[in-house]
Amino acid sequence: MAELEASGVPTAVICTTPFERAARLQWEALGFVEGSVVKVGHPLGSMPPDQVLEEAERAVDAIVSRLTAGP
Amino acid sequence: MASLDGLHVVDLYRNVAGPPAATLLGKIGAEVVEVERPPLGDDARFADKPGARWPPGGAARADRGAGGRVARRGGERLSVPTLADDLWEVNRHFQRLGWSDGLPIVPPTRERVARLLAGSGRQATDVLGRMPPMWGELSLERIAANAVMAGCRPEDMPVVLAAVEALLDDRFNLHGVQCTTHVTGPLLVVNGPVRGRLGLNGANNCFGQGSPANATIGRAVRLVMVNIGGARPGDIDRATFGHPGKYTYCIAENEEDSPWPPFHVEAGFDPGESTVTAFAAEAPHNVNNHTYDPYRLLDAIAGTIATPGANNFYVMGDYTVVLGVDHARILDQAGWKRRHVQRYLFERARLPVPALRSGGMYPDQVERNLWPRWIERGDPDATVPPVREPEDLKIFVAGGAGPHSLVIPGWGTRAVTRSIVATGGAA
Repeated sequence: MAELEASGVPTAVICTTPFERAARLQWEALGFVEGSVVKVGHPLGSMPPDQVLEEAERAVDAIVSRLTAGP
Repeated sequence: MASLDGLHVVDLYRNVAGPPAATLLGKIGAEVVEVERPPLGDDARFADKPGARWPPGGAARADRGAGGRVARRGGERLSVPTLADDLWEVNRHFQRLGWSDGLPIVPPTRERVARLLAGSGRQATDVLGRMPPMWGELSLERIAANAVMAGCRPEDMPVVLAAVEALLDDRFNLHGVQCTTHVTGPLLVVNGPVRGRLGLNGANNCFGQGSPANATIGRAVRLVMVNIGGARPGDIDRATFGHPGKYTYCIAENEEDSPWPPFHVEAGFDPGESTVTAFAAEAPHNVNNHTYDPYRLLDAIAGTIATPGANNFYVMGDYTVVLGVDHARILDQAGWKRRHVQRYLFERARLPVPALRSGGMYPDQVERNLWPRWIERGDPDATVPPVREPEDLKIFVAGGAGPHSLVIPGWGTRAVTRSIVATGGAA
């Protein structure tokens, strides 16, 4: 992802809420200051499929907007 | 002529706002004297950039900057070291900054770091690479500072360096090991002549307390992972529980009491060579078995391995078995070699696919598991081994007398063995 961002291709990190800080810190350690982390509900691993779909619906606009953002 | 020429400024401010303001005044001509708290100076010394917060080498920086008073002239910092070697104050400071495993550290003074560097036989500015997940630079000086903090001696340095190099091998997947919720940490197993020279324990209570080299080498590697790699618990190290081996997890193989060639020799290294093997490991689990029959003994070990909570049954990777010396002797007397043990456990330490379908990690989605192609997911009689190939079961012999062996599940990645480079007769 860092390689893509560095070459001007926008990316989005998707993680569940408790991992947002870890994702942001690791992203910053690679030299990226702009937050590109999209949070979804936790815990995704044991969530029933219909709730996973709801989380996806909630997050999709933020993801699209990051991936279509200009350089 | 700068606008504040001739003006004297005394800066008594702490942390965020003070240092930049005083630096600015210095840049436009003032003579600034900043007074900092002993023994390590202002907090801003360790927080001036994101990577410096969990000392990418912070320990060494703290040593250099150990001053009760720092003056700036014309925007430059001049350090006036007046280190008060107050163990409690130093530890309080390090712990507050997260440069700690929770236990007291040995303050990494310039002199101590230099002595450990001498033990490494390498230059302070040599770099082994960068360590994930925060990508701190692994300079020899920074690694030595962490080894001092752990209590290492100069002669321990070659083992610490070889272990760090093993962790950096892609097969180990250090980034994942550092960040996972899983209960894993690097188990280090040392082979070869260096064990005797350093007093590394592979016999009684080798996983327990009481062996300085085991305790400090494993601890040094952990401190490097936290302080240079940046895996601070709760922030980046997202372990749900962690385990006690995350303080230190280092043993020797008991080559002297093993009936078989040492692990590293069977892996292709020279008997006169010393090696360290790093394995992403859960805590050990005991197998207490009093039989003299090799089949029954290995069935007990196989049954202990075959548990649905272990990662191996879903993502494979390597798995470690530590045979006690008494158990190894029973096997040897019946003619068994290491490879026979691997083969038997590969066949017997299995879980049926239906059992994993009802009580596995992804119960009704076994197709998510990273099993080899030859396991037929829909066959009710199919069974799943913990590893893809028999040789992925890593067998060591260790411990003292007693009817015990240990099984140590992995995280799903590979064990990596590195040669310990001899310096000054240390390896």
